[in-house]
Amino acid sequence: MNNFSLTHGDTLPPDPGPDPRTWAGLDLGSRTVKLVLVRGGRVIHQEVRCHAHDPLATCRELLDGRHPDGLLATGYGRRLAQAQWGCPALTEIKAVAAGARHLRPACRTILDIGGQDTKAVALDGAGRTQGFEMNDKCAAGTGRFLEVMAMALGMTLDQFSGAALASPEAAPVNDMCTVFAESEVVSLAARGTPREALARGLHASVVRRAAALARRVGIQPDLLLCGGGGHNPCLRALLEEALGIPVWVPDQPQTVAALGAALMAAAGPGWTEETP
Amino acid sequence: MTLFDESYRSDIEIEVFRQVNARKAEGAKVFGVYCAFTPRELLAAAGGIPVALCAGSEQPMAEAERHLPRNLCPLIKSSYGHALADSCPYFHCADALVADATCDGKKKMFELLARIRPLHLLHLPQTAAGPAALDYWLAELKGVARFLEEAGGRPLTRTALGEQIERYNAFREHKRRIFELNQGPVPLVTGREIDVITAPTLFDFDLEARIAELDQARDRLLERARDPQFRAGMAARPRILLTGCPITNRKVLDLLEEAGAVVAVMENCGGMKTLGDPVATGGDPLRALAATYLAIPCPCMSPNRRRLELLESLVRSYRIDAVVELTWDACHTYNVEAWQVREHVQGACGRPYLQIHTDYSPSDCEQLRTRIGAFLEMLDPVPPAPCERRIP
Repeated sequence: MNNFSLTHGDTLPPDPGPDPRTWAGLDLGSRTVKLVLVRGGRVIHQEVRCHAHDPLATCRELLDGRHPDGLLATGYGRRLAQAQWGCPALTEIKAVAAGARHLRPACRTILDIGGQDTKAVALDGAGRTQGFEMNDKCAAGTGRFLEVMAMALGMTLDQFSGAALASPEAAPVNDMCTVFAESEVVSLAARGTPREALARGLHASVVRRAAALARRVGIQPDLLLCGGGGHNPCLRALLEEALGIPVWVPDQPQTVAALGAALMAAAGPGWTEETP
Repeated sequence: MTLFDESYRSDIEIEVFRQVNARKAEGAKVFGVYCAFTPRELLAAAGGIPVALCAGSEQPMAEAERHLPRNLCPLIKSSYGHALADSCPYFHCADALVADATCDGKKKMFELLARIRPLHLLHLPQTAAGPAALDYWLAELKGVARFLEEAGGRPLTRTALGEQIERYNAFREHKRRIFELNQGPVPLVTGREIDVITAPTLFDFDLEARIAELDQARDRLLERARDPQFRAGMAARPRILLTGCPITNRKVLDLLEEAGAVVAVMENCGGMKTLGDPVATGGDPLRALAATYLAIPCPCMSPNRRRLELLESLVRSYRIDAVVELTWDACHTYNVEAWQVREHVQGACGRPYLQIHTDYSPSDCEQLRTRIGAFLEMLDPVPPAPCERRIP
């Protein structure tokens, strides 16, 4: 997962709000920490950084010199930030819903394929969370699964996704457990199955799982794909094929929950799920 | 704010253990039980001391997996592991066991358990509907009476059984009154406190003393109704109905209440599923006992429409905001029935529903915190106020 930093990202419509304060949304995920700063309804900075098993240290680096006026934490490690700075914390389900709705007001279904979790969230017409589903406790069918499989095939994530997208055929990979699937892939490769076909088969198995989660909450357009999985063009293409509707991916798919957190921090108790 | 915690439970339990051991020394028999279908009244009427056996700890799993498959319900593995390792003090105390074949996993596990203690297996009908089911069940209960006599119990008499039915009716009635403290506009007792108060000891010993303790606890809890601070705190918490598999392991109950909800009522075994209608008195006591126990709305029965009706009435009478269903791994009956429960809760009851599928391991607690947190956030759309100071 590559680190990236983007300042003055202009993906949001300008809001001439008079609020001169800066609000931070911090998303402490299983693999990366994401920071989004908003001022006057605009994103003024966003950054994703791998945390190498010390998410709080990474948060401090990300916040260094930024001095936000308020902070809201979300993600797997939200309570770490809450304990450190006394800030409020919300689950990534609510945060990703707020972020997705801001980026795509017509969004009714969210698929968030993250490092250790895959989540499907259903929103009603007013943007309220109606239901959600998460994968089971193992990392089967998540971003981590794809990372491990790319390594098993000796590819970077980009090569892995590109090869899968270009492959005319998909080798059926049955096991979703990261450990078992790796040995299945190794034995298929030993029997001469092309790497490209294996790559496509692995993507297809993740998509089967993600599509099943989405069907469980009920799929309604628009569907937004986010999390690190949003960077993967093959996942997007196969999801569109499986679900039969367009899959919309924001420019920065990894920071959607952090954006939602920052927007809720800015609005405080006056925040509503209604799209402004 | 917590008045009743583990120390309340252990104080009572230590004293009861002392008394039970004294009675055992005088020749009394202790009969161990597992599921809710075994009528404790029968065991007590035979002069025995009924005791519920441990099935809630993850610790004895490894021992159990020497003989049992890994992908089996944790409750079954925990029960068997405790017996193999002799790590459950109640099992250690038990002279004989009366088990009920509520599911396939238990039924087969009990065959192994019978190597460790004399065990009588009650075979349940597959359905509770119709007179044939009741006749079958009645014959099964007569079989228990014979087993208890062979295991050192007294011969069963109509009078002794009638007396025990009245004692247990009173016991269940006083337990139910603790739950009913949560029917008002503000709940007066947390789910964790209900758990401790209504089942402080696993022995059914000196029920009269237990009833007195229940009443004392109730009086103390009622004082909370006059405490404005307590009422304000409780009023802000969403009221959850917890249903599903037995809460043998308290992980999910703890996570729900730590996340800010109050488990206002449990429908699970030991909760309202088994505290419902009293056993009828006046007629044939064994037939009345059979009828009441057979009506327990357990998913091992098909159909199990009564469970949906019970849930609906609890949602209304306890002013429930949302329903959470706990299912243990590999518990097929509850897992499969969960879809009908979800449909009924979201449809007829008009309440949000969350199914939590897990085992006894603490390894998924963080994921469950997120899932429960997101569910509670759905109930309360107003986000918390951001901290208004500069960071860091």
